[in-house]
Amino acid sequence: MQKNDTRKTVLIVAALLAAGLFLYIYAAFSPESSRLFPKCIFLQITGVRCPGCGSQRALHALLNGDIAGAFRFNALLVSMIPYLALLTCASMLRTRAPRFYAAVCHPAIICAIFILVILWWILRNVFGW
Amino acid sequence: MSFCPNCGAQLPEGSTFCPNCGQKMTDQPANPVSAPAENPMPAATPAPAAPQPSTRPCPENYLAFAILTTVFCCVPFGVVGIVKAAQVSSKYSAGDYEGAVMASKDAKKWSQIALICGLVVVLIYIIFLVIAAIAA
Repeated sequence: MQKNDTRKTVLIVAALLAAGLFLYIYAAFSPESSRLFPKCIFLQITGVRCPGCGSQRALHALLNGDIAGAFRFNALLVSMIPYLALLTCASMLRTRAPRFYAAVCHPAIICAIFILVILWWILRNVFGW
Repeated sequence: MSFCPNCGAQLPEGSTFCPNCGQKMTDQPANPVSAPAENPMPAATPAPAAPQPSTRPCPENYLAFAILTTVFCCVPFGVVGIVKAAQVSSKYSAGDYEGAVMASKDAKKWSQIALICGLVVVLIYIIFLVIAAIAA
């Protein structure tokens, strides 16, 4: 039990450090001007934008406080943030508040998200978003 | 009859670990914990001594993981994860708990595949950058 707890703590600290480094890199360097960031493999192979294209630039804009800019780079990512925050809380409280989790993860909501992602994928290629 | 406190699967008598998710039954092996035991539900719920399928919490659907891999990993596998997450919730609300647990595993698997693909692409890109830097 003790050994497991130590391992868990080490893992959590490592994950926090990695997340911190990751956020620092995305805040400090712009994916538009730096060659440090990989381009979307799906876009390069197919020539079609994927639902995630622009998310690196959007993350850079968000970390620098530019919400409107982030929305222009990837509207889906920015629109999903409030729901993702709610979902994360709900999954952490899943065993303690199962009804809250069931409400947040209602099948209709997930279906709506699925349709939204597919629509976003099609429309952004049609209109060049 | 007892249930795994982690995934809710039915346990054979005297199990020391869950055959479904591998969770160890270290706490009170003589008196296995049923899923809703530590669950401060309103008084309307049935007694924890008789666990009903509907009182077990919905299995984790990994929806946040699926959405994030869809947005960041540039492969369509995250979308499969979203579909599987929908199946977890719909099977759970239809009372098909075992089906929901299966869908939960699939949801995790597809998001992990998407994540691994994304990481492999990043790794190849970094190797490519290093080779280009050495050549230049």
